[in-house]
Amino acid sequence: MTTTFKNDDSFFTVVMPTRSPIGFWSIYRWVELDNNAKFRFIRDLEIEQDRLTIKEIDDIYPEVKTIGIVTNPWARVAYSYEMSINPPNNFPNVEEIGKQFSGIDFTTFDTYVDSILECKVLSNKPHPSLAQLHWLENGNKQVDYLLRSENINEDFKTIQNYFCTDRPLNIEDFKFDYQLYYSDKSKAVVDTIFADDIAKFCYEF
Amino acid sequence: MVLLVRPPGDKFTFRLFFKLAATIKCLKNSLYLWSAKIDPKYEHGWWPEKDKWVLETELDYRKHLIDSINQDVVLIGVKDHLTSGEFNSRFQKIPVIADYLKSLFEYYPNKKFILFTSVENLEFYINADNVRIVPWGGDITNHQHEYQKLQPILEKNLDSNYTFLSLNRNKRAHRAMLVSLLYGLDIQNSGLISCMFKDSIDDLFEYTDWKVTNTSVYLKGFDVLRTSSTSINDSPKIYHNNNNDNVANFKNKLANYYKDTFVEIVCETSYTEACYNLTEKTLNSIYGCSFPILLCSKGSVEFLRSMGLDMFDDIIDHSYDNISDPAERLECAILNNKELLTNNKRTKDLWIKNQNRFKNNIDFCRERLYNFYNTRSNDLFKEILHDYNI
Repeated sequence: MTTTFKNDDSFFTVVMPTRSPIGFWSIYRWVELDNNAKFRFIRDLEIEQDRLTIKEIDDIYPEVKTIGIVTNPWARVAYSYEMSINPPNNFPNVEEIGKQFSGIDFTTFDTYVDSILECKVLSNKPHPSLAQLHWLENGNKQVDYLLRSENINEDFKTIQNYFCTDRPLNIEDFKFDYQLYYSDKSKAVVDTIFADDIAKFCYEF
Repeated sequence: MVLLVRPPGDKFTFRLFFKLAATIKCLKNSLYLWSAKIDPKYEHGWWPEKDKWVLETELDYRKHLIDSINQDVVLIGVKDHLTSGEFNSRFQKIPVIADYLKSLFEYYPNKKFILFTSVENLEFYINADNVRIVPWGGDITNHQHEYQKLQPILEKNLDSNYTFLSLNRNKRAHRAMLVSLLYGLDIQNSGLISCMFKDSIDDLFEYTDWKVTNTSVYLKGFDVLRTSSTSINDSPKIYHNNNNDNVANFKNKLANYYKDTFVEIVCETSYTEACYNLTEKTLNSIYGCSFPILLCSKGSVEFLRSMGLDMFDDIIDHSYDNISDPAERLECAILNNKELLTNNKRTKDLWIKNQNRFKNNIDFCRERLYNFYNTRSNDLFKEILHDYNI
């Protein structure tokens, strides 16, 4: 029998690594419009503001089902750089980011990539070299529903099926020409820092 | 589990409910809701798209609640108070939302209900074999993390001519009676007073329907109140985007009033009903470092005292806390503490001498308050599971 909200009383929440190009609200906006999902999702601002991991969420909400978003690691780094040097309204700029991390170097993309591993965190923010697995996996347990940013509409169908709806998510799949940013050297650095994500989520450059 | 709308700031109770519910491994229904949504006064409409108007009422939520009950064990977490509008014990036996829940439990006599509630003393109204009650903290537990970081008012304006503070935003009978009494006794100039609803009442006793022995004092006070402006004239719209940000309100507005005063007549939401929801109003008074005269339901001072708070029993006459009649309780609270409310120099001296006690209460609220509710809920829950043989 297919599991749906009708024969299962699970609760859901969203876990999102830092520097994800998809916002929490992209999912919760859909939730609010769905007459069944809206009664099954936990929106906890601490999860969002402090970017809690699946382990931390499981401690607070035992047995809650988690929806995690994962992004191509090379695209994630390049997108994060782009958002820092050309921030949209209300996003932190290079100067503000510099207050949270010392040693982060936005001079060029290559210097930025080089500084990821060595930079120091001055606030309670997670270190930029942390793999997405840090949020999405806890020992042998992974998020219950893994959605790839690049394929989010397709991957989200499992949630739509669960709630027996075809209501679209109404956001674009994440498309970003990240290859343009990379030199052989910077690619190799990201290959190394995020090797676990690349292997686990089967991403290719 | 079904989640029928959470009120703002309910993280503490919601998480506690979720955690305890998860410990039950047998088949069960777990339902969490905001009492405002099953209040007969609830009505909310909006335009989801052009030419389409949607109106939801309490009946939609009550139906959803009923539709979600299909197991033998049912956990219901009801956040917030259980009174719809006013409650007058002379004419009503039970607050409306509590009455609805009571009927729900009666409708399913063979199910085992565990009711989590924000109100204390709900057993006074709901006491059936198939219901066990876990009071897991009122609105006083809301915005836990924000309050834990809040800067208390440990330094006050010792040149202030005001002695007491009385904040009255939403229209309630006991607030209208309190402010009228303060004006009737001609002690309004000793305090900072707000009464944001005064223009919406034409006839005090027609509105409150309270029986008092000295009507003329209240009427005289109400007349003065109606024709003069209060010392605080803020807009009642203190919250934006329906977020009930109590901590921002404290920082932006209330902190200034607390700095200028030394006693607070805390006018809680509950007063005439036997069950009561202790809210941010009590917590604000503690962070505001004021001597508390607590206008809440009978027994609420004793409850706070038993929880571990210093109620300044050597300074404040709390004998009103044992009085059932609402008018008698109000008059006792004010008249027996008139000296504290009006003798500016004496009260300031007392405040200076007792500063450490305010600090102790703040320490209590930062950690032990939440531990108290946590431990009590856990212990009660265990007993209930044993009792129900779950």
